[in-house]
Amino acid sequence: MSEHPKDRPAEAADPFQMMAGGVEGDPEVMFACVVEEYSRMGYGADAMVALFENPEFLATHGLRGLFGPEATAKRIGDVLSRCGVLRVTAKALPPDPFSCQGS
Amino acid sequence: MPEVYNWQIGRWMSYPYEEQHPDRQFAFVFNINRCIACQTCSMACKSTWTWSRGQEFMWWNNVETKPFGGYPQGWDSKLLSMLEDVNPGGQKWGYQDDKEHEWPYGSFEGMTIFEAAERRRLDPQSSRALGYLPSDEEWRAPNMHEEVAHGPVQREGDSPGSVQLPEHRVWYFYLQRICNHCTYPGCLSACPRQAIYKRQEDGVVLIDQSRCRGYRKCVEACPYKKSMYRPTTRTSEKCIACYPRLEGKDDAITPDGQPIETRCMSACVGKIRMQGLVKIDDEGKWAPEPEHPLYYLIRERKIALPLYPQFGTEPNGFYIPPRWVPRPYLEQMFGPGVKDAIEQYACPDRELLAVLQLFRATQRVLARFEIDRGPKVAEAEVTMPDGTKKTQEIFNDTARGFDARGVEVVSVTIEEPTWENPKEHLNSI
Repeated sequence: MSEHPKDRPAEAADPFQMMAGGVEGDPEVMFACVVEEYSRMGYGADAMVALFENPEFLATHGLRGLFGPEATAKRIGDVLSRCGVLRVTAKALPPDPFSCQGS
Repeated sequence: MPEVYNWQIGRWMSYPYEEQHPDRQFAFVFNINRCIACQTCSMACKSTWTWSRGQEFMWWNNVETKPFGGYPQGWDSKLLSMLEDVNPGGQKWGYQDDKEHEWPYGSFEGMTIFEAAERRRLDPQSSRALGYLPSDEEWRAPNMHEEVAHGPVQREGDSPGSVQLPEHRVWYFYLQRICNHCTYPGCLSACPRQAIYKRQEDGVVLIDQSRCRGYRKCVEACPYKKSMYRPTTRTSEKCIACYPRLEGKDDAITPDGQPIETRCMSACVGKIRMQGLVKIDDEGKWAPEPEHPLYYLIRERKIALPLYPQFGTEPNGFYIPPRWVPRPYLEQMFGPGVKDAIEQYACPDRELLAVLQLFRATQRVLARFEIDRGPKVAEAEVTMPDGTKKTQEIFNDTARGFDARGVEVVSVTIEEPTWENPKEHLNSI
């Protein structure tokens, strides 16, 4: 009986084998930076929580999975209470016929 | 082999052709910090340019997850390993403290892909740039395994035969990639048919489909693997910088005759992208344009850095590096300018903050900016790369963007930030 594929040892040249090694990084710093970045784009707490809840966005959703839903919401609130939510008013002059973005 | 000057590695280097420069150069800045990999850019590009038969695995624009992913898989780690094999222990930067204008990141003391090919080459015509041809399998699955941050965790009582998926630490960043329209393209240097050329008016690198015979030397030589083979036409294809949009000559696309951004840039919902044309002087240097947003970000403030400048092709795509990623990893990817770039970006001063607001504020291509200064409206606390906090001042400034004609096309005003109290302290001040 032939060997089951799952029992075969990984081959270095297998293109579907994950090749990268681990690199040290701090998810807490990543969390704070991502929240600050989106606060600079005008995202408030509710929009931010929704971003972290959405499983389509794996980076933010992964952080939520790591810290837990409640702690995620609390951390978002903590960061926003430090950095605030930046507001900008953008105006296209003359009105941009191609624009699909609001202010 | 002729010698050409590469400002990104701060020295002269070997290149198969004599130095030649366009009048203006297509360039762009991507702000990695804001990308959430929604892939809208990838789909905008694909639905415009690579939706036909034979292009199924062809993504001129792709977004990959670092440090785990790549398209094609392992493209950068493979080439870095090959360079290390040719020049063991020698791939290092020097003169990092001596930042003259023409070597903003220091001088690279190792070997570029052209110099490494020269050392390794047996047959002079065999290869002009160190590279490799990815296998079909490596092209087939962009984003595979890249961000499975939480695979099923094997618990006590689980079947011993159950599959353990790769599990990553939850930190990574997304790298957005298109052709860099390099000053010294690896693809152009390698083409035996001389089918690849760089346009004089905007520096866009194109493959002449009528000359191409599909030898795939460009696929092998492009260090960023952005030249791709199409089996149905037996030719290679690559990003064309959406030149019909860039030229502004097609009424159906640009009714007022003014250039607009490429599809990938204009579709970016995260507002991470900015493109433009920078002026190149007679000596091939970037002509000083301190009020050009790209010149300001790349040459003046140096917060946007080239991707793997050590490869030696002088790419014209630049990245604002992610703030949360360990420094050694970023320095390998973007060179020694990373420390300064991140420290400036994490806590931007008023001018930098204003210019950053111009990202994706319009689909017009900006050529100049001005800032109207307003009063200080707030102070905010921001996280620095080492996790410490710093105070940022916020001003009621307005950034104005102008197109190449000098016509104002957009203005963005920074207002006083809003502050949100946690729900349990809604009434506290």
